[in-house]
Amino acid sequence: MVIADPSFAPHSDYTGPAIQLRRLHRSFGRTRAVHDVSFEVEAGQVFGYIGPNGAGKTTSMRILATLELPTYGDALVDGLSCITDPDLVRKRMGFMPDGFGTYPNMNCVEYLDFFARAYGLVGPVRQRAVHRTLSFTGLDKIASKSIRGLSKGMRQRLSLGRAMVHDPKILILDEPANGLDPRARIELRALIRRLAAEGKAILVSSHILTELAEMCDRVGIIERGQLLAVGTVDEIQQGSKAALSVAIQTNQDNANLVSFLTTRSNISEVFERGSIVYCELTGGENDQTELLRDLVQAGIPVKSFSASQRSLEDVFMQITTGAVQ
Amino acid sequence: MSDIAVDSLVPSSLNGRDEDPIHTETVRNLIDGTLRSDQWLIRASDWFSPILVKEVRQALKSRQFNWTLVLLMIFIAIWTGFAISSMMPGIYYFPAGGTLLFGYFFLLLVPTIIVVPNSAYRSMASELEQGTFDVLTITPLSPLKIVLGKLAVAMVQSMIFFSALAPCMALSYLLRGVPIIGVGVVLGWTALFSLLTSSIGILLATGNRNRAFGTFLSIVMILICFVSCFILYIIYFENTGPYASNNTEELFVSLAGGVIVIGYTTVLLLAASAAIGVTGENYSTRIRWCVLFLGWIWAIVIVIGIVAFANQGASYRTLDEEPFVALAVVLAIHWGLIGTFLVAERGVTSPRAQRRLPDSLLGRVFLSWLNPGSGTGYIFSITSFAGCIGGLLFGIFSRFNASTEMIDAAIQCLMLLAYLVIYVGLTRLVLVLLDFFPKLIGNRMVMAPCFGVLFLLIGVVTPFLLSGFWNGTGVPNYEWYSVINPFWTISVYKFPDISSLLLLIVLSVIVFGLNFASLGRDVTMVRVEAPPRVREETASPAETAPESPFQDII
Repeated sequence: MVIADPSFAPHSDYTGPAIQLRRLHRSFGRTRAVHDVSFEVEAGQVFGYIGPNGAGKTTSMRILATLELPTYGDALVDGLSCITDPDLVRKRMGFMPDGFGTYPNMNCVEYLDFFARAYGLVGPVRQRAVHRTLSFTGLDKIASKSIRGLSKGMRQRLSLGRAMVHDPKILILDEPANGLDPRARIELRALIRRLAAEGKAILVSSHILTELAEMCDRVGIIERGQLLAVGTVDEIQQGSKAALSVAIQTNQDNANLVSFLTTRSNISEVFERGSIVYCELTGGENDQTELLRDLVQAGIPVKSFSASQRSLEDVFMQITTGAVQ
Repeated sequence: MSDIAVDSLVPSSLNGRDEDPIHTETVRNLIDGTLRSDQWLIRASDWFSPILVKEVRQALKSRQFNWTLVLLMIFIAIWTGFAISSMMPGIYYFPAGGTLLFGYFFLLLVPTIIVVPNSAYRSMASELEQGTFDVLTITPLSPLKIVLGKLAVAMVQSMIFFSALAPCMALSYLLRGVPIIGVGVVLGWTALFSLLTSSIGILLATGNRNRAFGTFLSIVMILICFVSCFILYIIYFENTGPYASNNTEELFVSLAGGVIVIGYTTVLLLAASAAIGVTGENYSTRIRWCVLFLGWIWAIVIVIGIVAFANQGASYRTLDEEPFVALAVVLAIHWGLIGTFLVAERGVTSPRAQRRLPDSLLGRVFLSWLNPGSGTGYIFSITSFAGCIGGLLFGIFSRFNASTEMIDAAIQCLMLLAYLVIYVGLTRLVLVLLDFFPKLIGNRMVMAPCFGVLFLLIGVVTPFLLSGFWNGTGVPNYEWYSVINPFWTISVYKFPDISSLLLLIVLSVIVFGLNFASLGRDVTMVRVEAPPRVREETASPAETAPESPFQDII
C-alpha cells in the first residue's frame, strides 16, 4: 500500500543523509546524557538505536524531534538543523515517543484528524491521509472507538499513525514495541519495514535486540551517552572481539582441550558445560578452520565441532558494561 | 467523510427491490444532504485553528461542559420562576428588571468567570501533565497558535453560556428598571474578564511542571477568578445600580478599560506562548512591541481622559495636578512591571533568531532595544516610559496653561522616571551578578519580581526606620535620605525644592551608568545569514491552502 500523497509531502532536491547527528552532546548538570554522538541514516534505511536504560537514546531522539536543545553539536533532519530551524524540521519528521498521552473524549479518527490538521493538511487531502493511515495501521475497524478504551498494542499503532499521518520523510520511533504482545510486535515490525520500503528513513530504539537485528539495516550501540559501535548488524558482529561462538565435544576428558584452548591468543572465555567446551573465537571462517585443524593435529579426539556467529545480544553484552550514570 | 458512499449509509431494508423507490430516494437524498452539510462544515473547519476544532469536539462530549450548561439552564428557570412569583402582583406596576438581572448576573459569573477560565487552565495544564504536549509541540503549530486555540475554545464556551442567558437579559429589560446601556457595559466587561482570566489561566498553566506546584497554581487560579467576580460585582453596581448614570465619562472609562484589558490579555498570551516555546527562539520582540503599544494606549487614554473629563481647576485653562500624577504613577507601574520581567530575560538568541536582527545602522540604533536580553529590556522599558511621559506632558501642556501645580506635576513625572531607572536597574544588576553564581539563581522570571519588590520595600521602609531612630520621636520626618521612598517623596514634593530631585538624578545616573556599562552581548549581536539549505527550503512553493467553504456557492 502506498502512503505517500504527492499533494502534501514536502519536496526538496536534497540528496544527503536523511538524519545526521554531528558530535551531539547533552548534559543535565554533571550527567552527560549524550556525549559526542555522531551517525547518519540514509533514506530508506531502518537504523536501530540500542542501549541500556539511561544510555542517552531518548535524549538523542528528543533532540532530533526538536524537543530538546543539545549542549553542543548539531542534529540535522533532511539537511535542516533541529536547533536553528525546528519548524522546517517538524514538517518532515514524525516522532513516536516512548510514553503516549491521550486526550479524553476522542476517538481514533478524531485524534488522527486533529494531528493531520496540525500538520497543515486540509480538505480532501487530510481526509485521504487519515483514511490511509487508519487503513495502514489496521485501525480502520476501530476508527470510532474511544482512545481510552484501546489496548496497549492499538495505542502504539495509533501513536505510529499519528507520527506518519502527514507522510514524513523521517520517522523517529522511541521503543515502539514496548509492552506489545508477540503478534503485535511482528505486525509492527512489518509496518516499519513497509515504511522503509517506501523510502522513509527510520530511527528506532528498542530493548528487544533480536527484533532490531531482523528489522534494521544499521544499528548503533550507545552506553552512558557514548556511541560504542555503529554499522550493519553483520559489521558489528564481525567487528566485535569475538565474532564466533565455538562449541567442541570430545571423546575423552576435556582437561587437555581446555588447556589447549587457553594457550591460543585468538580464543577467550573458555568454559565447560556438561561434556561440551565453549569458547569465543576472534576472527573469521579461516580461523575456525585453522582451530579445527590444530585440534586434530594436537591429537584431541574431536567428536563434534560447531561455530556460530554471535547474536546481536551477545555483541551488545560484550560491548556494553551495564554501567549507568 | 467524502470517501463514504451514500448507498452504504442507506438502511439495507430500503435498498431492497421490493421497497418503495420514492421512499428510498427520499432517504437517500436526506442522507446525501446531511453529508453535504457535513462536507461544508468540514471545509469550513479548515479555516479554524486545529486546537479549536479538537477542543470543541472534546468539550461538546465532556461531562463538565454539558453539566454546567444543564445546571445553568435549571438555575435560570428556578431563579426566573422564584423571582417573578415572589414579586407578584407588584411586577405589573413597579420596575422589577433590576432584581431579575441581579440573579442572572450572578448565574452568568459562575460559568464564564469560574468554570471557563478554570477549564482553560486545566486544558493547558493537562497537556503538560499527561505528556500530550510533546506530541503537540512537534507539530508545525506555533506556540502562539496553540495558546490562541486554547483561548478560542474558552471563548466559544463562554459565548454558549452567554447565549443561554441572552433571552433572560432581554426579559429583565422588558420588566423595566434596567438601563440598557448599563446592561451592555456589564455584559461587555463580563466577556472581557472571561477573556482575561482565561488568558491568566493559560499562562499559569504553562508553569505547571509538577503536581505540588500545580496544586498551588490551581488555588491561585481560583483566587483570581473570585477577585474577577468581585471586580465585576462592583462594575455591575456602578453601571446598573441605583446610582448608575451611564454618562459619557463612564462610557469612556469602560471603552478605555476594555482596550487596555485586551492589550494586557495579548501580553499574557504572548508570554504564555513564550513559556511553552523552544528555548532560543525570539519571543521577546513581539511582546515588546505589544507592551510599547499598550504603554502608548495608557498615555493616550490619560491625556484624553484628563483633557475631556478631569476635575479642572478654577479656570478652564488650568488643571489640578493630582489626578494627572496619579495616572502617571499607573503608567510607571506598567513600565516598572514590564521592565522587571524584561530584565529577567537571558538574551539567548538562537542563530535562527539572529537572522532577523536589524541590519542597517538606523535599524541597529533604534530597533536593537527590541531584541531579547536583560540589558536591552532595561533600556527599552526606561526609554519607553520616558517617551510616554514626554508625550503625556506635551499633550497636557499644549492644552493647559503652565501653573506651579503643573510644574510640580512635570517634576514628579521626572522623579517617577528616576525611580524606574533606579529600581529596575538595581534588579537587573543583582541578576547580572547572580549570573556568576548559577546555582544560586532559579527561575529568573520569578526571581526578578521578587528582587524588585524587595528593593521597593527596602526603599519605602528604610527612611521611616532611620528617621524614627535618629529623631527619637517615633514620628518620621522627611529627611534627605527619604528620597529613596518614591511614594513619600512624590507626595511631599513642592516646587521649587530641587535638592531631592538632584539627589535622585545623581542616583539614577549612577545606576543607569552601571547598567549601560554591562549591556555587553545584548547589543553586539549581529544578523547572520540563513544557511543555503534553509534558503532553498524557504524558497520552495507554498503549502496547500484551505478551500473556501463557499466554493460551491460562489
